[in-house]
Amino acid sequence: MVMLNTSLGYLNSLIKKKLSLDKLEDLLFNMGFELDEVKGDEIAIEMTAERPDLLCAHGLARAINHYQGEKPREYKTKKSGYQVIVDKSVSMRPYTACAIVRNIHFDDEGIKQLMQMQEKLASTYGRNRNKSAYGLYPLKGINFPIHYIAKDPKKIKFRPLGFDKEVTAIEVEQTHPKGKEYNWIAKDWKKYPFFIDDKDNVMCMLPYTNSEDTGKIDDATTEIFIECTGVDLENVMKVLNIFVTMFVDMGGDVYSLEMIYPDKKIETPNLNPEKINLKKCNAESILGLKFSDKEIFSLLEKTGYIIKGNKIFAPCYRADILHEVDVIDDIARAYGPGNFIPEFPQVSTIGNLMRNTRIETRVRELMVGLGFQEVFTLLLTSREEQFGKMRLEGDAILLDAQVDKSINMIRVSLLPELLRVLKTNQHYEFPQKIFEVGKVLFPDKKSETRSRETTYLSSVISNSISTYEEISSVLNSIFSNLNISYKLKETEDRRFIKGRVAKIIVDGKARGIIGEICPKVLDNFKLDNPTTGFELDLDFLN
Amino acid sequence: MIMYVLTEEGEKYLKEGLPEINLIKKLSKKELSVSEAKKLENFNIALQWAKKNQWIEIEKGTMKLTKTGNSVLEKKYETEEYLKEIKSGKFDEDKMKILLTRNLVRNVTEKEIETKKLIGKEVVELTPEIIKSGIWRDIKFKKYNVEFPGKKIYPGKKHPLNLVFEKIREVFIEMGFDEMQGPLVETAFWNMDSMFIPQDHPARDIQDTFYLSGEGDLPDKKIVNNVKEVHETGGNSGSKGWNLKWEPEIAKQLLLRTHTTSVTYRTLAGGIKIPCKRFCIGRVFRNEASDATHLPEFHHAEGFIAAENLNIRTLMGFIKSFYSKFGLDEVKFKFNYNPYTEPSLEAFGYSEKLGRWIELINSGIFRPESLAPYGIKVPVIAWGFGIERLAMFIYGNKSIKEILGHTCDLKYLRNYDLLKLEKW
Repeated sequence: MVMLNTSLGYLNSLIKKKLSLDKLEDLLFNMGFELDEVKGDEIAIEMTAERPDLLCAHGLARAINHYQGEKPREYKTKKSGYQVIVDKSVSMRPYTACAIVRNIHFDDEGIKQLMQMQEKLASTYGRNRNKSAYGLYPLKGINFPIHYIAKDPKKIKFRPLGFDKEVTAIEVEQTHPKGKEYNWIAKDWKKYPFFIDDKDNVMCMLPYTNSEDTGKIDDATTEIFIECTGVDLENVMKVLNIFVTMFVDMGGDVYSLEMIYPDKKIETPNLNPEKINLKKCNAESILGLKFSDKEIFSLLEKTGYIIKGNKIFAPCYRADILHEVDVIDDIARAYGPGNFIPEFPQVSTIGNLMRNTRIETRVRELMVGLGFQEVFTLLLTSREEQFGKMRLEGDAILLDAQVDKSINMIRVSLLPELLRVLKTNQHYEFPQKIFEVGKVLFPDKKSETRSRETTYLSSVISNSISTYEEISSVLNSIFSNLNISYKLKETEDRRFIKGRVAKIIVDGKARGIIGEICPKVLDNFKLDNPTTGFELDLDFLN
Repeated sequence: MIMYVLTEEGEKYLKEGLPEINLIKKLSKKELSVSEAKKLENFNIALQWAKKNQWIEIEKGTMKLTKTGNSVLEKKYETEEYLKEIKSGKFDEDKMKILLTRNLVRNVTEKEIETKKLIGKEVVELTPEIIKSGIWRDIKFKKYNVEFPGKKIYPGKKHPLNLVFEKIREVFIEMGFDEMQGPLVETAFWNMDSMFIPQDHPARDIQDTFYLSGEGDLPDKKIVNNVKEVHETGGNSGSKGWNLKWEPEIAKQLLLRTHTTSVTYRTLAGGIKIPCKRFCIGRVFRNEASDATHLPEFHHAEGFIAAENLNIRTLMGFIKSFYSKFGLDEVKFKFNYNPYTEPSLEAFGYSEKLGRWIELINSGIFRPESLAPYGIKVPVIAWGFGIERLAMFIYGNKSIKEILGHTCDLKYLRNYDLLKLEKW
């Protein structure tokens, strides 16, 4: 989920047919986006990472204009004659694509939108700068050709954005906010890529920051140099197109540069639209509609495609078209979700529940019939609860360092979780009789996913008097109603009072445990009432 | 102390005479044919005892008294005498045997005797003795305040989410869907790669997914190669692919499944017979901090149909019917984005109860890249939703922690409205 923040006023200044807030909301809904928040004139729109070209007001305004009937345009470049020389040392981030824009006039909102887009593209399309990152510079003062080259960060000094003095590049990584935020990307790097102009002025250090001296845009800037760098050439080419088409929409002119790679030369940006192969019958079968060619073409233009004769071209800023179905999706949006007539699919088959679902339902009903309240506890829990307080030992699937610090393992027993439920509810009437039918997980080296799942039935009774006799009669009733014979065999278990605990044996195998919970365990869970319980692996029912 | 009272039969004989005595009285006046005698009341009993006592003989269908029989009428008959004695309150233990076998007396407890004393009084509790002794005919019952509500007791109840599960299952089954299940611990392969989620997709971030240490196994080579190819180049799916080198190590990562779509793709890859309709209800996990409406662990329901001639309109039609099963008759759709469906649809249902649109279902047509590796050539429409979200709408919970996890509120669970789903 990505938010686009702008104002209705600014958006309307970019739209040909002005929109009221209600109209905008309806239109966005039809295009597939939602107005998330409105504060005065300020609006937040929920966008998607799949459409990086729409992450600024200008990109969205362009899409709205098309949707309202404006014919999509083609974007052209002129050659600047400048060069960027890519050194073979930048193997950690081998690709760059650059452009120059002239005749640009920023207003405050324009700069805000630019910053927003730069940041949102880097976090989504650039995968938090790991895949690609972008920098903008005033063209004035740059000495061409520019060198994209990796250097030892101890040997380079420059003044990063926001600093009042020069520091070494290694200090930038350690002390600059962006250095600290993104140094995980560079954890294996010995050298770092830099843009350095022909007079040795450092323009930026990747993937962190521009230089305060050469890389700061303000509202007086009318000519800019843009660089995109990354690990995937197509990714940096596309993102450059997203930037420059925005500038063209703002009134700028685009000039291309020559990227001199060790093994090739590429002129960037390339704003040519991409030819699309679309079979009308495929669109018709996926959408359940019939179209004339003319209808298809007009729907495609509504979502920004360029039609030349009977050929379809995707605009150069679209980064999300992998397959014909992506184009068909745009046709559907242009057609409008409300215009489709739903039709119930006539596919006749016979449905069945799985056997274990039915068995578990019967077991639950039996427990309910015995007067127990069903609870659902979580599989995500902690060693403190499952092992520590419960005085249990064994192997478990561990989950360390999670967002929620109280989680560090997957449960191996339901009993401690039931005791936690009792702890939460000590202020309510007793007796408290609860049960759960739920999964527990164990490590299993031999299985495909290194884990073994099984379903347990566990139950506890907590009351001022709760005896072994009471809980064992519950267990007896369960087995007799399932018509399965079982035996109880006296055992020792630190969770239960000595002499009041037994193993539950079915088919000669221990399948569970039953007894009076040991006062030490009750004390650990801070429970005041005597509690009895059992835990039974229901695997034998399958 | 053992005491005896006459049974109803005993009382009757005391009043009307014992059947065998009544018989010989008749015979003393005139002989009877057997067929005539049979018409007498309690003939069988009379015959049995008269014969046993050798009072009568039967000759050629005629019944007549013996000598002994004749003499009886002049003496007192001891059985009859016993009955009289018991009635007057005296009895002899030895004499009881015959009366007990003939079921003319029964022993009574002190309680029964006490009960007798209740006759004519106002009684609070109806007891089995009052009923058995028949004195209920002669006593009055104290009037209660019947309008006072009863004391609250707590039955065993299913968990409210379980009722929602049952409803969802019911809806799927009646629409012809077969249930499917799959493991909670998954490989990234089944959770992501199998459905064409790129290996650098943000959804794979540690912030969203619980990763476990170690590596799982990948499925058979053919499937793995097909998936690798479709990611890297699009394979034979007609796609460009992600243009990203596919790393088996990333696919082997173990995690807690983040959606039940892993189950769907295991099913699709396992080979399906077209047409195929399957559904799944299961737990899923997201590595997030919890709040009132989110826990890191929750439940998904999801279903798919693989068949010829499915399209966006049939997907919409299906969801519309599905929603109406949950009382949401008005439905609207919005296109959205999802890595493995295209087009993708978000479905909103209008809740009369809440007076607003609610969004539950995400759906779409599976991308060809996510089907080609398994040789599936028909369209597959699919949808899914979070069950807690639906449950919270239905039950009106303010916090999911009130019903789920060790924080659950027993008072709520004991008191929640069992018919909420029907009223919704």
